[in-house]
Amino acid sequence: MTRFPARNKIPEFTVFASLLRMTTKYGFSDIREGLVEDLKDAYPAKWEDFEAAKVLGEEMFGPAKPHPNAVLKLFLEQGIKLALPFAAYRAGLGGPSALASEGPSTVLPRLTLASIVHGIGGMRRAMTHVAQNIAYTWDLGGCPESACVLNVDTNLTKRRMEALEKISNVLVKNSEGDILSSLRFGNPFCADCAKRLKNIHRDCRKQLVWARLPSLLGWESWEGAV
Amino acid sequence: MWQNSEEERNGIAELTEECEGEGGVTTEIPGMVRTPVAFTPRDISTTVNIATPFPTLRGTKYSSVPHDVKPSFGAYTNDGVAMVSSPTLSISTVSDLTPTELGEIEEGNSKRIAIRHETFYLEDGNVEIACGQTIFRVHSTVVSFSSPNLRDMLSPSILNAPMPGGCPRVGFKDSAEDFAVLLKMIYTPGYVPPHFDVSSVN
Repeated sequence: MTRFPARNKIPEFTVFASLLRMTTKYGFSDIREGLVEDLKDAYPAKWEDFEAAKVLGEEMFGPAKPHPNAVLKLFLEQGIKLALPFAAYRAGLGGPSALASEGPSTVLPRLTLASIVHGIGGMRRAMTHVAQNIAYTWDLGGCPESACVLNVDTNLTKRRMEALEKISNVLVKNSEGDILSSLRFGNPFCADCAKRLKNIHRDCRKQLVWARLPSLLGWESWEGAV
Repeated sequence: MWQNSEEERNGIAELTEECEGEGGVTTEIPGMVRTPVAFTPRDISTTVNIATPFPTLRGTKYSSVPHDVKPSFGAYTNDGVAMVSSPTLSISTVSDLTPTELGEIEEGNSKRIAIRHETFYLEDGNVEIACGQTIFRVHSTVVSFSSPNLRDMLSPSILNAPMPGGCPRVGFKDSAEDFAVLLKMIYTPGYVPPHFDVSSVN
């Protein structure tokens, strides 16, 4: 039990940002290193850290979450290189309107903005491709289970289209949670398809999303970014 | 040497006679020459235009260094000993760092409204640091000791700095919010722990 339980509580983002700026500018290097270290869990640079993370991105700053752009902008200004790819990814998840926010603390440099839009667009296209492959070439004949949405005889109904859209969105979000539980209309897959879908989800998270994060800011790989 | 014109001297003499004639008490001090000053009702009722070496502050409040220690007291136990809980330190809000307008200070020709920082305008400080319109007053030795960069910025600046508030005032380009956090870090040991507990957010 710590003597001062509130003492180690992460401050709100504005205070954290001030601390980072001031410790950088005035040479409080030991304190700055501690602050950067605290970011590593929520803004991982390694796949293992990402899988193990309990809190991701701007959620580390508590209920008063800052705008993802504000976090990315701070990291860009202060040169927090290792946290940049994930911060860019979090900003990109907000969609074009959030990404193009023009608030004083959220407006991003045009080149950064263009890179993220391009990168997230590429991710979405890749994930849509994965989702289409799941739908149309599932074992080259579709699922034999008639109740499964991927059954070969199922027409491209609205229900199936929604499933495809959700699958691709969930894949891009690279979330830790169960891909099936995020589908709002319940699980439309049979047990075998659900299991295989989870495996695909895991592989896609690592190979098609995680590996592409550095490209959001113009780096070819994680080695170049970190 | 400046002297009144003849017309002004006559006017002053008449005014002096008027005042003394209406019961005014005058005291002659040997070796001192009285210099009458002419006041008219208009002069008194309108703005007093006197150049003062120090700024005029209205409604000024001085606050001591905050420490954010808010002890709370628990219930008495059976043997009559009060259980005092540990004080807590919290830096999770910026409400205590928000500057409040406490007065007006004319700053040379610009005549901007300057705001004393609510927390870090320390009356026994010996240097003022202006961040935008917010004025901090701190101890140069404490601030310089904490950071060589701050020392290098303060040392040469203080020598030729103007002293509108009675001590040297230097301008920094930082925002007031950022600088208040920096000062809180300098003046409050343990304000920034070695590591924050990020996992406790949820």
